[in-house]
Amino acid sequence: MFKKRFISTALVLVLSMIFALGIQTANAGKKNDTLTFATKGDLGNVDKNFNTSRTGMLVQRLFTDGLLYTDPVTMKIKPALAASWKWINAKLLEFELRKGVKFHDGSEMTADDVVYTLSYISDPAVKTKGSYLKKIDRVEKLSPYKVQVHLKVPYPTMINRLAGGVSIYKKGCYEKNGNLSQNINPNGTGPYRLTKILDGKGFVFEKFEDYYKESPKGQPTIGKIVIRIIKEMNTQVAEVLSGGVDWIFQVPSDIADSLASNPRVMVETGPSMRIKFLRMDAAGRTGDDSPFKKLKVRQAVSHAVNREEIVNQLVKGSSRVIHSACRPIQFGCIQDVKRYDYNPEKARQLLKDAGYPNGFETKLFSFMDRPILETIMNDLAVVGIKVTLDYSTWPSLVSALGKDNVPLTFHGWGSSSLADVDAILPFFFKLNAQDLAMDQEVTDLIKAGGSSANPDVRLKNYNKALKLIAERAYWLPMFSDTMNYVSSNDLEFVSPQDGLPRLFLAKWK
Amino acid sequence: MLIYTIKRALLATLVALTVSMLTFGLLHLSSDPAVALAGEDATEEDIQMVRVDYGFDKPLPVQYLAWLTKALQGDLGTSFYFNIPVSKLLQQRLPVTLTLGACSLVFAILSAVPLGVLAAMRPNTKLDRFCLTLAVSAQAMPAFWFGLMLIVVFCLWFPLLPVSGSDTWQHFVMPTIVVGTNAMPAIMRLTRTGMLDVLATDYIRTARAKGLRPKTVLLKHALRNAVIPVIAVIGVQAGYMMGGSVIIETVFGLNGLGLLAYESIMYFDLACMEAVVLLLCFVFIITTFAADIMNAWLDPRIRIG
Repeated sequence: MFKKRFISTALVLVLSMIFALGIQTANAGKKNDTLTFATKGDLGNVDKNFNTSRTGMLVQRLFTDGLLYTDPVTMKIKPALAASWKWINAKLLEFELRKGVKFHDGSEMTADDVVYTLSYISDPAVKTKGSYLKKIDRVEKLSPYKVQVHLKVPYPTMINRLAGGVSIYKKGCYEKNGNLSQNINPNGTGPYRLTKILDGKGFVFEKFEDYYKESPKGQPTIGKIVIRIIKEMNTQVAEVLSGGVDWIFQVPSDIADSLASNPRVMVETGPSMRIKFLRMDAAGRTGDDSPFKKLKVRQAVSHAVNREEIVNQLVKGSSRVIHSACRPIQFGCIQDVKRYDYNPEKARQLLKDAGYPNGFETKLFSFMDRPILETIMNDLAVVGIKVTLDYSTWPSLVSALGKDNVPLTFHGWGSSSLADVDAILPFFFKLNAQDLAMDQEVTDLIKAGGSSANPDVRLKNYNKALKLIAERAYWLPMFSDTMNYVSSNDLEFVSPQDGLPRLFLAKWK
Repeated sequence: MLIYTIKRALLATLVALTVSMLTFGLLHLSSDPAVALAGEDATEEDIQMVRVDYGFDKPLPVQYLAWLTKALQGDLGTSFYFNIPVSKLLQQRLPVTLTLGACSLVFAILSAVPLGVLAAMRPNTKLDRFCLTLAVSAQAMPAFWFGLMLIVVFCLWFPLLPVSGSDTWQHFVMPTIVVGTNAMPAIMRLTRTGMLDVLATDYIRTARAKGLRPKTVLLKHALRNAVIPVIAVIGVQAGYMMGGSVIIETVFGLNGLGLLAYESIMYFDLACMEAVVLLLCFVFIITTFAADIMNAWLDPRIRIG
């Protein structure tokens, strides 16, 4: 009797527990008009002027707008908060502002807000991320809807910068708290209002009903967007498969491949602005006896690495082998440069000619893509270059560069999603600690390309610089990266050229 | 007892000081915090500016003393990445880790002690072998793999539980099982050994001879004495659970101290890393200290020897 009662009570308990668990369903999905997106990176500060992360870019583009906007498909610059713009001269930009644009608090955006935001973030005393902001000298209000931006130096890519990561906030917003922090509800003009910051967990956005109709971003259609921070990719995949999350990105190709035939989700592959490359110590910073000082050694390395195989077997997706030190879609990025085909025989001969018939030993510094690194090391070993790996972090690599310890390094560069070589070349060819080439001629050409407002002059200089970089084999450009997305079958989204998802463009099918 | 307590307290303080020194030194030497702080597209001038602003240009002992003085006053600095005081971050994240730790400990005790008792009741039988196999398997299973397997079973095959997050009690079910399972074998094996020793003593034979019911002998007379060493182990396991939750919190997306540790390493958030490592070390030191004191209180031979 007691036994029977015990069993039936236990059964009821178990069933009620399962029922209680079962009714706990995720709020993601079309049914709840809530798009849940997962990303790995948390955000220290929702203001993009104070962070450099991908999550920062996602968040910023949702709740704020800039004066200009880069179309994610064509990469063309379009007017956003500014109805039009023009260069008055190489150091002066003029913007005609759009009328009737509302901030999320209902107030209208005017020249005062633009002057205020740009003046604040360009102030050298304010520790914003991105030194390009400091190229703004002053911002002047000409009328309630017209502003002029004075630059300290000619800087043609300021247009691209303003169309990428520079948001306009309400006048006075920084004074309240020193800077925008997670503790306040930021007031932007974007298609979504940032309504909640879930400490360490994510962000909640709601559709902004008063969003200006002429916006190049279009009108938001999904009611609510939740960005969740989930560090572990396997967990992100499980969330998409179980319906807890609608969309994930940066999915490794092997996982994307394995999900391709899964009817529960949709896998899409798109391009990314990031490229990856090998850099060699051509300047002999690690010592006068550095083998990489010799052009033939650098050429040998360029012929020794089988980039096609790395792209086809490891990176996959939309990845392509590149030949110049930039992403082909970027302004000024020609591919008509000296090319190095995979030819281990030739590499061996070049090493022999350079005085290394038995190869040599060297160190490869990196902090990413271990399988690719191992393939590179194998390829180099085949021609006699024995490589040991120093695998750490980006700060460690920069420290090692500062101490002249780096003979060879592999890493990537995302150009802050900017479609202009100015976002990559000046960083690596500046005759500074980052520069392993230390080539005055190349640096001068890049400088000339970056300081002219004339596109033809820019192209001419960049072309020359890229040709020299390839001829002198300072880098072995490896490949453009791929971006794999996995999403719920209900979702329709635009695959951007720069690999940065535009959540505001997503729609339910 | 008082002299013993003072001795142990002094030793614990010394360990804490050494740990703080090592943590600070190793973290500062492992990489250049100014580079990490300045960000990927920072120029050399930016990095130098950060170095001076944050005092990274000063000698390491000077930096350590300045940090220690502030830390002793409760100021653990400001998180470079999150831009808020580290103490506030710890306050935000600690409850999740404590909840997970407490639930896991309860789970571990509730599963390990009965299994240990069962195994000791029938030594060298199939039941004993089963319990030991369970313990060995639990210990051998990588927490990361076990966590993902639970996700596959309870979220994809039988969608009963949420995959990740920390909003509801359901979010804690799988992480509790994983962390608890990891801590269970040590407690179970110690309970079994303790029970076997106690069951072979004279007073148990006397109890049985008196005609007491086996249940009373087992639970009232034997278990009470057998769990004394188990308590010490539970103290250490509690510390392990706090420190070992890094992987589990990452897998299950629980925004606790473990995830904060992971994030601060990824962003090289020095102030945060120092605080998390130190906090976890202190938990270990305190739990070990508490276990030492409890043992000495329970067994006078320890404090005399």
